[in-house]
Amino acid sequence: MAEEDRKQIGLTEDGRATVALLTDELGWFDEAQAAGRFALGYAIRAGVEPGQTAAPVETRWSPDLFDPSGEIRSLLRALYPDNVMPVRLMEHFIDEGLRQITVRVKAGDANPALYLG
Amino acid sequence: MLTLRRLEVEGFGPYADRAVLEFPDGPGVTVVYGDNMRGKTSLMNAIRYAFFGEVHGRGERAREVLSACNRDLTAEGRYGFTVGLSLRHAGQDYDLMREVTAKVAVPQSDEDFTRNVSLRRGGVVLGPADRMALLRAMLPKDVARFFLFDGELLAQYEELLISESETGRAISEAIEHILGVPVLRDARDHLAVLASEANKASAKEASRHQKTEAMGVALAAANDAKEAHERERDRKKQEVEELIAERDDIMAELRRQEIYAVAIDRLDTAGKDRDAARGAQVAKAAELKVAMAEAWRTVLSEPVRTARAAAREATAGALASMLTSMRVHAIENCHCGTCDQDVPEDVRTRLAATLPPGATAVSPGDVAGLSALAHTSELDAFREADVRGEVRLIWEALRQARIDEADALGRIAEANKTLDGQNPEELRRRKTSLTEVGGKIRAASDAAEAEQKLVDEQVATIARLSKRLEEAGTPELATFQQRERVLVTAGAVFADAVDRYKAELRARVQDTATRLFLEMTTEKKDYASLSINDHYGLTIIHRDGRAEDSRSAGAEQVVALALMGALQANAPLRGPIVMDTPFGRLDPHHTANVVTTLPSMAEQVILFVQEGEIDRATVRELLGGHLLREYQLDKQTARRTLVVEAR
Repeated sequence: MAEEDRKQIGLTEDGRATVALLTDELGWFDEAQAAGRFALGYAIRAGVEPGQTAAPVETRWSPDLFDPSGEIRSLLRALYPDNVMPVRLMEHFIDEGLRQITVRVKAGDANPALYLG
Repeated sequence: MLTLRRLEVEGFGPYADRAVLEFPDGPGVTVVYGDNMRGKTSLMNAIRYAFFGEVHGRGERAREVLSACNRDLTAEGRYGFTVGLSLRHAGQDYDLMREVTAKVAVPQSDEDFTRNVSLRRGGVVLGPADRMALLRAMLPKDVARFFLFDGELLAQYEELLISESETGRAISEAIEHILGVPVLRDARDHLAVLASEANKASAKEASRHQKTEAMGVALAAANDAKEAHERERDRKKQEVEELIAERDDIMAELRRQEIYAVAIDRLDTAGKDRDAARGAQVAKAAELKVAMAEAWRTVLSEPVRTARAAAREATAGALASMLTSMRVHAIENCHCGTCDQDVPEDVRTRLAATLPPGATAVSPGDVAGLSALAHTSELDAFREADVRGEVRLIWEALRQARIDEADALGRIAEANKTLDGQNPEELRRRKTSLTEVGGKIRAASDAAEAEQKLVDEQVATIARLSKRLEEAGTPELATFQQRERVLVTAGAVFADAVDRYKAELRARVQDTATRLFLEMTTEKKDYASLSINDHYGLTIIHRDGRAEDSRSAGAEQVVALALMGALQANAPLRGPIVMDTPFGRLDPHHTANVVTTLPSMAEQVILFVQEGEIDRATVRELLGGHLLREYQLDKQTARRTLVVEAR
């Protein structure tokens, strides 16, 4: 049986910790989904290969709420035309983006402007 | 002429054991060296206590006796002290002794102490009336500030320059006292009282006769009203004086605690800065979140642009490939599928020449690039947002606000360290009460002025009624009125004499003060003289003829010292100048000039200094033969000091 896409975007435990770091501690974002969108964009710009999150995730967000205008899903279709599971892909990029951001934050880069290119 | 000969204290301030200072016969200077907290001011206060029987701190206001008791002794349950002062006045030697003993085991207030005082002249104890009269004559309390100079009260002299200043008025009255003006003024005032009494007698006499009864009654009423307003005016003036003393005391206290006042100001400022920094952080944090909500668009802009360019290229390639395929198809089938027309031979040859080598027809459905067209459309729908600059600025502002907060917290900690053991609220309260007292002084002064106007109105009424009485006068009344006229005329003579004497005094004080000032100032090339005003305030006059509007604290001190010296030189009342830490505001050059000038300011000068102000070698060199003796105050413990003769 072919693997299906997820209905909800989930976050790994580490991802959830990073989201909390970015929202509550560093105060970059007002809400967790804004941090998630940023992490997704960060991973794509960093050239992270498409894929799926291997670690267990805890569902967090509805894709329609995460991407209410559909822009992100359109972009993923355009950028990764072979991918057929956009929710898993979003989840993957979010997780990877959060992981990379964590590394930099822990290295001392607390200035969000440094992450914007 | 008053000269101090010996001071003896025991149990007073830090002098737990008996301490004696002999002041050699002058003229010249006796210097007492002592570090801070060693008891220089206590010696000055001991002299004050000997004369006035009041304990003072570094201010005008009297304090509780208990505050002067040595703490080491009180810790052992021994309360009380003695202060003895030997002096020479008008060629006779006196021994003044004041002894304070406790009535109860642990005294709490002045009521718990017994105070004894004796004044001996040539070994004979004088009675209370003689003692009080003599002490008043030797050193009247209201002029003591010109003999016992406390640098802390220097600001009072500045008040002389402010014509509306109540403190200035009080000091100028004291100056006139020292200069002997009251002798004339008292005569003038006494004659005015006598004239008033004569007027009242006229009124009484007039009311006894039917013809003048109504005018006599009115005159008596006007006199009563005038006296009532005079009493109220004097009461208000007394109130003003008391309030001024209170204000001076607060100001002296605040000046002494200036370091704490500065710390409080810093604490308040730092607190405001901290709150502002925190407010800025909250505002900038909110701005950051708004900006960062769009940051995902910023980071995706570059990959989207790259992908968009690639998709457009792929779309262009697909279109080119489709055109080639259509041409191949038209050549091979001699028919154009797009316009549904046959393609003639010459056209096919021309089309074949445009084809790239190896071109083949492909099915339109096989053109992979067609999907790129759809991707281009999707990528074009992406709305870019560049928040980099905005986020950078916000973050910078946020960082600065955090630094500002840390800085403010540091300053708060520093100020709190300075204020350790102090009560900032108490100091704030004193500042507030200073403002309140200032308001009360203005109100009381205004009330006194208003009463004076009412007195003047009654005086005018009395004059009018007196004139009418004179016109309608009876032979009996004429005698009373004659007496009144003589007294009024005599009063006018003395009033004129007061003005003339004051004008002459001012000129003499101005000349002497100028001479002393020019000896003491380091700006001899720039300054020409001092100019005196009606209240004995002195202004520095530049060589260009203009007054110096602002002067430094040091210049202020030199002017004050020049005034003291000038008063000494021109007053009928002469005595020693005792100075407590007078060089605090002066630079070394001014200090040296002042020390050199001291012997010409008074016959006897007693100087309490700390060696940080001026060292012994310099004092010896500057004073030469004018230096009569040196003492030093040696610390035994924080509560015990010994007086040691140094030379």
